[in-house]
Amino acid sequence: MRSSFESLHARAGAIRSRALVRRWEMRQLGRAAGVWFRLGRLLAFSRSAWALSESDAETLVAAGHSPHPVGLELEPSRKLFVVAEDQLASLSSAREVPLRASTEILGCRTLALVLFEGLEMVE
Amino acid sequence: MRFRDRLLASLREMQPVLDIPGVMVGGSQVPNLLEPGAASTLVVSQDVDLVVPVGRHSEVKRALDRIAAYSPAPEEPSVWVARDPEKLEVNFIGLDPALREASETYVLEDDKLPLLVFGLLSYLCEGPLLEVGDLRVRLPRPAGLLIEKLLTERSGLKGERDLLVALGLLQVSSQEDLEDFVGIFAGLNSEQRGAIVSNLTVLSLMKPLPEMPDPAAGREEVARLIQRLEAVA
Repeated sequence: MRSSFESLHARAGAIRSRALVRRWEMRQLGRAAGVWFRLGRLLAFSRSAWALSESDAETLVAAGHSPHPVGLELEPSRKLFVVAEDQLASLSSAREVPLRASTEILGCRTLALVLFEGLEMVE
Repeated sequence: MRFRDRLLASLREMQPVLDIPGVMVGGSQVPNLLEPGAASTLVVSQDVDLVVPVGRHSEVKRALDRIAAYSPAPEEPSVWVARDPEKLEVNFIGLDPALREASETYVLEDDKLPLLVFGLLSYLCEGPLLEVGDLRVRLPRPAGLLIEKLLTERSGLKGERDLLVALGLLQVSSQEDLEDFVGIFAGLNSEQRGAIVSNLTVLSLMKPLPEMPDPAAGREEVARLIQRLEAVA
């Protein structure tokens, strides 16, 4: 019985430790970790994500689009453009990337993101 | 044997415990039991949590004396295992209404039924009484369980399962449940609010796990909920 108490105490201790780590992480949201938080939020608000060529990125900039600030805070920086779905047709290189936390999406240097209808990204 | 049958058969064995006021099912089986007809299609784990208010601990121990089909696991006596392998393991977990934070989690030592008393379980409030045939099961209100799951620190597969439970709860929640959730969220501190939004974001971008609900199916609902929560902050 004593050893089972030890195992429960070990689990309780682990839970308390993770709670303290989480508290620290949440404090960091206003600092470096905030970039990842805001990147996650942008991706969560997106219905689809499309990898783009540099040439398509230039087309978007020429049309008046600016990359989202959160992508520019990453190192190396990413150009993340929020676009309307009907704009995708003019982006010849657009290749859909699954919206998941993955090396594939994080490895894309240039992405077009289509938000869910009615959702807005406020920085 | 279908999972639903296994779940309900396991709970039937626990009826003497479930009849004690304040005792309710918690965790991953709640979305299953809240589905129409307790359909149990949102399976993320093969055990069932029974939430025991610490003030009812003695009564629960007495009720367990009347349950012959289950006995405590030797290495972990807060987990009870059935003699029939088709029935699910039952995890007894403690609720202390005086707690509010994960960091307050403690062990209630007892030779017959020790309990891990989780600080965040105090967000659970008694909700609907589910009746299936002769089985009566008290469930928590979805909002409190959703808060608990989204405040729980993620670690490995268990953490991913917790988020899938949150997904399942969102799928079975009514508009009233979501209002309830937003109301509780509004009363949290900024750190807790940040943790909830952060975990919803993680849920939205989770890879599907084999034979579990697909997070992609709930992405739009999650995004709209995040926006609604941010309007509260």
